[in-house]
Amino acid sequence: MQPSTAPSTALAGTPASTRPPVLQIEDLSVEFLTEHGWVTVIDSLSLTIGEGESVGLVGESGSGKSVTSLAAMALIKHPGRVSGGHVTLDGVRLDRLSWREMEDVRGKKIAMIFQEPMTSLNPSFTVGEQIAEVVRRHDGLSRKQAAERAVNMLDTVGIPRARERARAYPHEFSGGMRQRVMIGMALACSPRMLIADEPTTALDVTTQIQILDLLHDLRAEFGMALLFISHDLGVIADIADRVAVMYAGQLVETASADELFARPSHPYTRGLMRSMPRADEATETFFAIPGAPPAPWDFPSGCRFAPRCSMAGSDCTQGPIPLIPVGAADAASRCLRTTAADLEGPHL
Amino acid sequence: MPRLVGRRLLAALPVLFIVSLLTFGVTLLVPGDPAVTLAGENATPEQVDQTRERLGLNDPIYVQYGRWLGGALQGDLGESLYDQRPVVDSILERVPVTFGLAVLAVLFAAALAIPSGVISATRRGSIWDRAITLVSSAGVAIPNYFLGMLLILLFAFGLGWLPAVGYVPFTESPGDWFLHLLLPALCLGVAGWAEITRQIRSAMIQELEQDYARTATAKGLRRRAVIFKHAAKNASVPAITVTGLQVAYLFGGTVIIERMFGIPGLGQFAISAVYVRDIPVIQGVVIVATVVVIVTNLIVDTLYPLLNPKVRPA
Repeated sequence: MQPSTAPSTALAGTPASTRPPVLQIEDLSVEFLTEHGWVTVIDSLSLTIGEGESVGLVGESGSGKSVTSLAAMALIKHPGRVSGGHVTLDGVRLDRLSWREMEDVRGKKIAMIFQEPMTSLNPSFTVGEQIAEVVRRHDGLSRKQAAERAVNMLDTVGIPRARERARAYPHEFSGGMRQRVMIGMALACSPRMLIADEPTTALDVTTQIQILDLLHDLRAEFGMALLFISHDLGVIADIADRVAVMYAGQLVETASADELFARPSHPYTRGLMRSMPRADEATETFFAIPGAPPAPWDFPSGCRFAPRCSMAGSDCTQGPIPLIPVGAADAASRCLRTTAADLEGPHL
Repeated sequence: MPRLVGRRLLAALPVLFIVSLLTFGVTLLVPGDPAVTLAGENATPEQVDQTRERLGLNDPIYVQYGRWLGGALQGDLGESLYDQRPVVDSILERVPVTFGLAVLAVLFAAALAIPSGVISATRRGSIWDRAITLVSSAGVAIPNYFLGMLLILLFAFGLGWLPAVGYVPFTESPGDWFLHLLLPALCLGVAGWAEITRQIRSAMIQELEQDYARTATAKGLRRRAVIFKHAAKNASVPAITVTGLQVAYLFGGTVIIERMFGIPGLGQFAISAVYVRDIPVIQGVVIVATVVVIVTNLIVDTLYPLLNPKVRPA
């Protein structure tokens, strides 16, 4: 429906570094006020997403994925605050915008879909109205034109009998259909950047696949960049060109999806992969990484994964570990053992 | 919707029946004998007996009640034991007075509670929030007759801006009507304002923390649209419930306020009837008050489906 310039296809195969960046997160730190005082939950995170690129952000619950996405929308609110770094969208520093200016950016240039389709829509308005108000707000369409656009969007995201369903309320839709509505709402103004925070986590497996397929198709059609957040490596493998792995508020590994799934560098990434149940292997037991992630006020001063890592040595706990470039272009890992010989070989 | 209203009205009949039965029973328990009062101070026992016989007070209680009920079903609430005027006429004269007072009080309460509740909720912990919370706590705690005296002292005797007591019918002079009812309506409405403010505050805080409010912000809607469109529609359901309940309390409050400000309404009428055990009048006022409460609840119930699509009949 929207005339697509299809940068994603034009740029397909181009290394991320040569694409013009849409979203740049630079050295971002976020802290929250807790009973332990101000606690840093995102620590100097940098992530660049190029035009039409799809980046998967993986990590366990509490690793800081959602906070990262909220920071990209400038939606961190009390008791949280951005304590360092900044986010740039299409060359505009978001931290320099007022709240009112940011209101013009959200939904127009950068949009977001959330994990809980059951609660993320307002129960008291029709789904058509909830889409239409976005385009009225940003594109200045009349009520009639906006209602028409809403019907088109519902049709685009694959809701049957869209004209009729536009007048229905959220409780009259299933979870998967509501998530389609959320996607239609997010894409209504053709944003350059879409953030999807665990959009399939609350859905059953068949619906998950449908929503992933839909996002995949729409990304090509609308030519937008995508930041896809999930704790599920399998889902990330389906949708991401590039993957960033988070652990305890830090980026611990970043690489192209092919590279990461073929040769995971960081012991945490390897652990995540080993703990994925596989259909092609008859196993009786599941692998689990021993221990639990540290709480933000208990982050170790050295490598934050060291207490759970089988390869950790005394050098790992000496001080902060930087992101160290590994083999392929753009790939990096926050591990001193990354280049060590014992990483090679059949550890997976 | 018409079916809902019809069903609710039918359900109201047993309520009215029970209320009338209870009122009748309670008036019998009140000490004193209307016949003694009515026959006069120097009446002989024979004269009192005659009076009692004339009023039908010697009949068995169920006969007295049956007689009253038979009349009530035909719209006749009997006659006052004292001035022999039909109770219906006396009530109809006073209903507009009390109705005007109550409507003004509810309007004050709701119109002030919306801004104060929203400001409190959206600036939680601010000086505004604290001030509103303090004043509304005081509003609930202060008895309205005490507040009434303070207001009369300040605005009537002190500043001389408003009349202390009295009443002018709306039909005579709307301006004077309003000036006379301003203080009593404020007194009557302040507790309701406080309750509704607290309800709006907590409902708005709760709604603004919902995921859908975050969605609305994330799609770039203006803050006021997030508050007054998205959150307010959901918060309005509990707020309207509380407002409906306040109407019932407020009706009770008119009894004191009307007496204090010398307003010739139903409340004042009821009090004087209780003093002399004028049973038909007491019955009539209670029935009218019950009808008001039932109708208010009905209005609240018909508003729900407009605000919450989930309770809409399929």
